[in-house]
Amino acid sequence: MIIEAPLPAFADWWAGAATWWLIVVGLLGAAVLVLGLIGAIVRQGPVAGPRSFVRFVGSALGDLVRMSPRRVGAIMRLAVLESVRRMVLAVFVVFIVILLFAGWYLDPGTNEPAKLYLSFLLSTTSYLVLLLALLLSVFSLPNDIRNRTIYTVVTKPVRPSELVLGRILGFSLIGTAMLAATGIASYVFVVRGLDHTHEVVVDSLVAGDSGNLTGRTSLDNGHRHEVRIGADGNGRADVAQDHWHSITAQQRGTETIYEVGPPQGMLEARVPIVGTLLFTDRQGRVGETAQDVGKESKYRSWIEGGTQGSAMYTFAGVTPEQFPDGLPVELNLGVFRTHKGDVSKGILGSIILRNPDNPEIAAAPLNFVAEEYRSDLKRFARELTTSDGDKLDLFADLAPDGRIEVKIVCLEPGQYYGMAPTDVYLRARDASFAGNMFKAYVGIWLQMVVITAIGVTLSTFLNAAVAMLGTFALILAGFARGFIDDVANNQVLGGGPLESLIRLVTQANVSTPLEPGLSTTIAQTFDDLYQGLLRAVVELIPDLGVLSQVGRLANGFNIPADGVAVHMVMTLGYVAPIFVAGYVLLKMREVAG
Amino acid sequence: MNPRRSFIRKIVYLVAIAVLLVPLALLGQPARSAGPGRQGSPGGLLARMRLDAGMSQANLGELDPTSETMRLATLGLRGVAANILWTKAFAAQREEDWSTLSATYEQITNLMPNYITAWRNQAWNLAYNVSVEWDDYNDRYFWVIKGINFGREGVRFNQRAPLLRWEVGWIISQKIGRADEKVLFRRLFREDDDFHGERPLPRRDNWLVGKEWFLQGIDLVDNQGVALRGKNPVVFYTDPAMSQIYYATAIEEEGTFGEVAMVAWSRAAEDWQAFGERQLQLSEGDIRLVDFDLFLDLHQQKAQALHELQPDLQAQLFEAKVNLLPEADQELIRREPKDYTREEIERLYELQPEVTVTYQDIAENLPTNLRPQGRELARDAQIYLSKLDTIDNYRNQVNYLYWKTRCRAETEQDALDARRLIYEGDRAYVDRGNLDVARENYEAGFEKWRVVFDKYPKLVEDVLTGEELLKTIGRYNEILERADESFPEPFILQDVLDMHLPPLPPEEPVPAGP
Repeated sequence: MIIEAPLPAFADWWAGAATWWLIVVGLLGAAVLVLGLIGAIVRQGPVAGPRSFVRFVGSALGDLVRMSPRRVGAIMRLAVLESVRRMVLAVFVVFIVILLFAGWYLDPGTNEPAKLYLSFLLSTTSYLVLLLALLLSVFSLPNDIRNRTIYTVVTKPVRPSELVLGRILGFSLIGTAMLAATGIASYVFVVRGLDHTHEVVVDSLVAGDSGNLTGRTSLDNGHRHEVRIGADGNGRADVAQDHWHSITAQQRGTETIYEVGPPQGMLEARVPIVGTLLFTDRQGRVGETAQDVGKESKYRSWIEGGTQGSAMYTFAGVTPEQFPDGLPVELNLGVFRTHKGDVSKGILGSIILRNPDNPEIAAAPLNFVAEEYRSDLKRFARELTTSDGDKLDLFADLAPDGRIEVKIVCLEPGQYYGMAPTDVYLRARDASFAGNMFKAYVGIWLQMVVITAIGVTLSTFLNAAVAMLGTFALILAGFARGFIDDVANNQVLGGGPLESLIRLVTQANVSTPLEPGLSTTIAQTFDDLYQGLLRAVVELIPDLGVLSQVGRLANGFNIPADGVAVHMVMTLGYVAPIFVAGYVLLKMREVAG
Repeated sequence: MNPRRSFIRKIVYLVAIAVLLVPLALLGQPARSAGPGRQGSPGGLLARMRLDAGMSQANLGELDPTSETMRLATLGLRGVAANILWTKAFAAQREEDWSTLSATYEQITNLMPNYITAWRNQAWNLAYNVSVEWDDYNDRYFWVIKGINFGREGVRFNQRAPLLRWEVGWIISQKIGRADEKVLFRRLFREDDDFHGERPLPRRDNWLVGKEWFLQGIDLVDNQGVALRGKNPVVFYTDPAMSQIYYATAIEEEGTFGEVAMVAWSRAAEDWQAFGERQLQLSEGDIRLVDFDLFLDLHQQKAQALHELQPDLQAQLFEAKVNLLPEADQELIRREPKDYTREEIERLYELQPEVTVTYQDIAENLPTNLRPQGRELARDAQIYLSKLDTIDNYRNQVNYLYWKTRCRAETEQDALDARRLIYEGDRAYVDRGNLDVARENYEAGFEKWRVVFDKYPKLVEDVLTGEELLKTIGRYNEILERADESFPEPFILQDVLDMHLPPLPPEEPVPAGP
């Protein structure tokens, strides 16, 4: 279970993003103006052309500035009515049918049911709503133009800009309503679907030396738990399938009834405070990475047990106000064994809290056994002791300026711990799961708005089928934006498209260089040109994948409001120029002139 | 265009479509089973062909609405969809996202429920590759069982796939019984009520459950007319008996002796005998591993009869062939074997085909009146020799004679006692540190082993038994050292030491002084 790349803070992000946006949009706008001017000169001559061009630009600016909210609202209303007439409710019906039969596709025995449920539902919602946005946005204008019903609108005092914006807003409103309905249905489905309880199998209970009982629960929802019950009759069902239950004893006459509570730790929105990470290698030298144990994924660096290898996380903002109950440190460690060791036991390690400016001031190590692929929460009280038994205050001694260092070492020689910057964090608090789900749906909503804008814009100058294909291609490119970036920047193993084609045909390994020669030179030159061109246009493709926060929700982490704000501004950055382009293209068509 | 002509053309098209529908209907007519007051029908050509090949969906296994819905929803693009899902599964495995990996596997098999290789590979991947990624043995066991259950699910969809049942049997027996964590896995497996359901406790051994699955696969081939493809029959049929052998071995390792162990080994001996007597259909023809001695006798009889037709002919032909060789080679062949160098031995191997006198050579060089009889004897001798080679080859593949001997030996009271005494000695030494009891048990155990090895000398060659005994002998030596006593020479199991003790490294030469 890992946190994906941290989202940027809005304050740090906006200035750079705005500058980049202005550069791209400015360059694009300038290119369009120059091409428009040349086109006007070619069509109308050197005198009339520029005059007509200036008139067009002036009128366009006027249209954009003098848009009437009332008229935009009217067009929006028409778009909504049109959508309702086109049976968009069918999409909701399809969704409900999918929910009804979701049990067919969801394995109750999976090790992370919440993740599976949330991924399935949000992916399904996303596909349906994006499909709805695509179909609604691309068919509307071309149909109006083909049926000539557009004349009933353009003969009214409505500006083309209002036509485009009204449609974008109208279809987005329909999508929003649909998302809201599917979101509520999904929430209810997830909460009800994952809610369960067990019974303690009384026959399985075995008494320990101290009067504690151990046993197991009944099999429900495809799993059962080991239970530990204290002498007072209360206890807990251990973690299975990423959740646990509390157990309380009720005395009914002479009989003890154990009641198992609802699942806990399943639908969470953990708010992590991530720190900076440095490693020491086996000789104690400090670096940003540690050893590589040969795993295909290079997400983690690995420290060797029984050596000076360690991972040192430095966290800021550690104050008594923020953490009045002590410091909650959550670990998500990887474990790698170079020898079998004792297979019945986990790998031992220790955590040491230190003052980052004076590492001599350190709490006594807390030894622990690493739990791989699980979040392991360790709580440090405010009052600590050193290895010599002297008392320490968590905040005054270890974090006098709000910074604290958490050092992790593996204690067993020949065994390794793997860590990445986001694997260890301070679990500041838990946010509301419902709120987190709402934020994940906002991500899908932003994707839907971008697609609606693209669809409406393409439909201003293309027929419906071509506009649909174009929008669909942009959706695919938008979701594959990360890969396209990698191709454009030559970060993909195996080279550019032509080099990859040669490797495919000749079955050459992607990691070995091609034989030098004319064909290789031609292929690589072509790829360089292609990648240059791709770099030039890649910024025009909206990055739809980055807007989705489903992974963060499914993995049980809070989606920061800051990140949502970044994505909303980013979406506005995409939609605004797309709308302007749509307006200009429609205005250029005689139908709306 | 004349509207009348257009109308006529449409009519012609309609008639053509109707005519073409007739053969289509005849070809595609579905089969219909007989019912009350209704006769059954074998259906059209396609239905009959499907039935003959056992390819109809209902013949393959259960019909699953999830699978059918997904196949329908992909509108014939399920190959593309499956490819995308495979890519997703590889990415999930690379990123160690196990829940996504497992969910993606389910989607792939929903799309292609009758693609046996997918079920086999994925069951294997979950049980072997994914399980070892987890550090806690309980998690590892969870994923091994997940892999096994995946295979069982595959069997539900493909009830006539012997290899899938074999795969499930293999994972249950070998993964649980041979992993580094086998002691823990076997315990968890025994205690796994959810997996076993109503299966009684004594049957909850992974080797016995694996054997059940192997036998199910064999039953499909033997009794239900399913062809065995993609698996060596000798390996396929040997597994039930091997599972029984490993079961007997495992329970003794865990300290179960007496009647239970005796019965387990007796059953193993019976299973091995039944395996030897099984008719195996191979590309070289049908064989039975027990027939080795029979064919050895038959071959010797025919070869002897051929030889007796003209007793000195073979030697003459050999001489004649040798005489055709260059002088150096002739001298090499006629020399005393002890003088051969390595190069000369290689040369002799090269010369062997040139000087070998075949049965055919002998038959063709007999006097004319004996030649027909000679040819018949030569042909028979050659056939029996080929059969003998084939049987011998397959017997070696499965170590037939060794296991036969072992099964027989292990049912002897001396062997059972030997294993019990060594086990009790180990417990006394390792668990309780009681050296006197350990020594007493070890010495009694060695004496019992001596009796067994004298009766079954082939067992001395067994690497597993040898390694186990070496470990015990090592402990015995430690006990003697602590008692300040020297290791007895010759040791009572000296032949075991000689066979299995690794040779000592050559001593470093002592550097000469100045």
